[in-house]
Amino acid sequence: MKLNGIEVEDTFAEAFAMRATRLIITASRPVLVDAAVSAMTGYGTSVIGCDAEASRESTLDQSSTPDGRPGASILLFSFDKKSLEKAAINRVGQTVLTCATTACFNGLNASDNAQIRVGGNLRYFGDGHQISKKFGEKRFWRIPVMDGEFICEDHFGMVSGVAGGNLILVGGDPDMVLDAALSAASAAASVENLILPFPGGVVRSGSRVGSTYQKLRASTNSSWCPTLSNLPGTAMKPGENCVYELVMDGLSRGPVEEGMRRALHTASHFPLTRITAGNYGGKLGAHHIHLKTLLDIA
Amino acid sequence: MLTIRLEYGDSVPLEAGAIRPDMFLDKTLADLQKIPIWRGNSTIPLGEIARVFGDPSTGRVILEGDWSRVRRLGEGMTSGFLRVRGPAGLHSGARMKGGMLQIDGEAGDWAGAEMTGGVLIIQGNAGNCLGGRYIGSRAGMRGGTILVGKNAGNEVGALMRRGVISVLGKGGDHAGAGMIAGTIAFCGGCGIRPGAGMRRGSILTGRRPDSLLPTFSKEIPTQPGWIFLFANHLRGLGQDNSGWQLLSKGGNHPKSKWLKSSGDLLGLGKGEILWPEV
Repeated sequence: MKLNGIEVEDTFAEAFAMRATRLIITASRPVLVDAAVSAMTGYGTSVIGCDAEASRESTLDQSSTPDGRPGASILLFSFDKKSLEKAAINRVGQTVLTCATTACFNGLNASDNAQIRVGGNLRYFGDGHQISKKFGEKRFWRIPVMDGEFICEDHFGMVSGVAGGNLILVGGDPDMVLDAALSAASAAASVENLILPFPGGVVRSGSRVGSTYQKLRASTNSSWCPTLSNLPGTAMKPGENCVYELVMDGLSRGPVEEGMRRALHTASHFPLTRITAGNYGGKLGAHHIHLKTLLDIA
Repeated sequence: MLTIRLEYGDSVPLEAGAIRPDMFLDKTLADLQKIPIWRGNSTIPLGEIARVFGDPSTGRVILEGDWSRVRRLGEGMTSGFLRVRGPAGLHSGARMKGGMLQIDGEAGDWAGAEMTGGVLIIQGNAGNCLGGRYIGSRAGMRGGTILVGKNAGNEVGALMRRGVISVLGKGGDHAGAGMIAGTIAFCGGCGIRPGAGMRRGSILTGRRPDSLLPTFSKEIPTQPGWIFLFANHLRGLGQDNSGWQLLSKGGNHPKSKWLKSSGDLLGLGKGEILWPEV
């Protein structure tokens, strides 16, 4: 298949069902929002090695946050409800609660049985001085801290999201492939309800399941490493010297497909040798997103 | 929508706890004419004192006429919308669990007493013991929201356990007496000795109370960001809370400055009374 003259392999990205939530973080100044978001989403690239996959979804102005201050929305993904709740509690407790002037609000509506409790667990930091405020159906916790009060919503909505949508960009000139990857990541990041959890939205260390070392669950995807392209089993073709992967997590399948579509079309304007996607033979993930379905502009 | 037009000129008060939209859903107009209304020590059918017309199955009921001598309107209602076009008598919306009761005029004493959910809107003045508790009860209002367009009487939110009461005008004396938790706001200030015996909860007043009990702490400056959330909640229910913005430096602005006194230190002491710094 060709898109704008670039070869697109007839394959599919294999994505997984994961539990997801959205957090709205606000602070008195944008610089503090950025600081909190940076800390909150740090070490949140892949559940292979992290407790959750996390990244900034969007930046919010004061007219669109619950408390009228600058803010940002973050999406957080994990395997199941229990691990998602634990990750949210730990991350909010260590990185948002500790950041000056911040507050943390739920960004998802969900039924009662599809909620995780964050503020309701963090309240104990108040050591008995915490105060609950319930307005309508929403409960907020006011936890005394040294610059006033940390306000955190009691429950956060949870949905079944889709994680692991991906594209693999392959080319000859590493700088050009990097340009293509960054541009494609930027295009995908403009989709609502979607994050690219890796740094800059681009992955250079694509992995495969398992390792020659028994203690490792995953190891480098050697077939895509240019320095190993002279060995048997390589997926690299002559003239290909660099590979980058884009990984996307969405609150549903739709945003993942749209993110992949935008990334694919943006990348196809660069002189790549080919664009493909990663999968495990279709045996692990419930969602198979075929690249041929993304060639048309939506 | 169902309309009930009261045509009752007697001075004997009526008790109409049976008038609640959630109980009308599966009834016919003929059934509604027979609903018993207490008058003194006996009952009379609703059809004898009011004209009933419209569709009862919508869950929306409009009461027309002077209902100021009719007690317990909407008492215990769980859903639907009940609107009184004019004043309502004692105990209106008491023990409400859900739905919305809107009173276009004034409401008598004990409005919303011990309610656990729903929204009670009183466009005019509210009487004493708004959202209060009945004698012998361990808690008053336990949930829901009460919005008052004008003033409220004494003992607003006594023994309040949870919920929100917002009064755009002034409140009377002893507001939040024995309060256990919840939020009470008086845009125009309140009378003497608010929060007597309160354990937890918040009382917001538009100005410093004239007589603050000595068992409350010295006032300290604070910037309570949660007031913005509170104001948003009220705005979402349709209450014009622009009055808050006139208070202090921005009123409900996230950076507005307030003064806070904690108490009642004779009790648990985790309650708070806040007023804008001017």
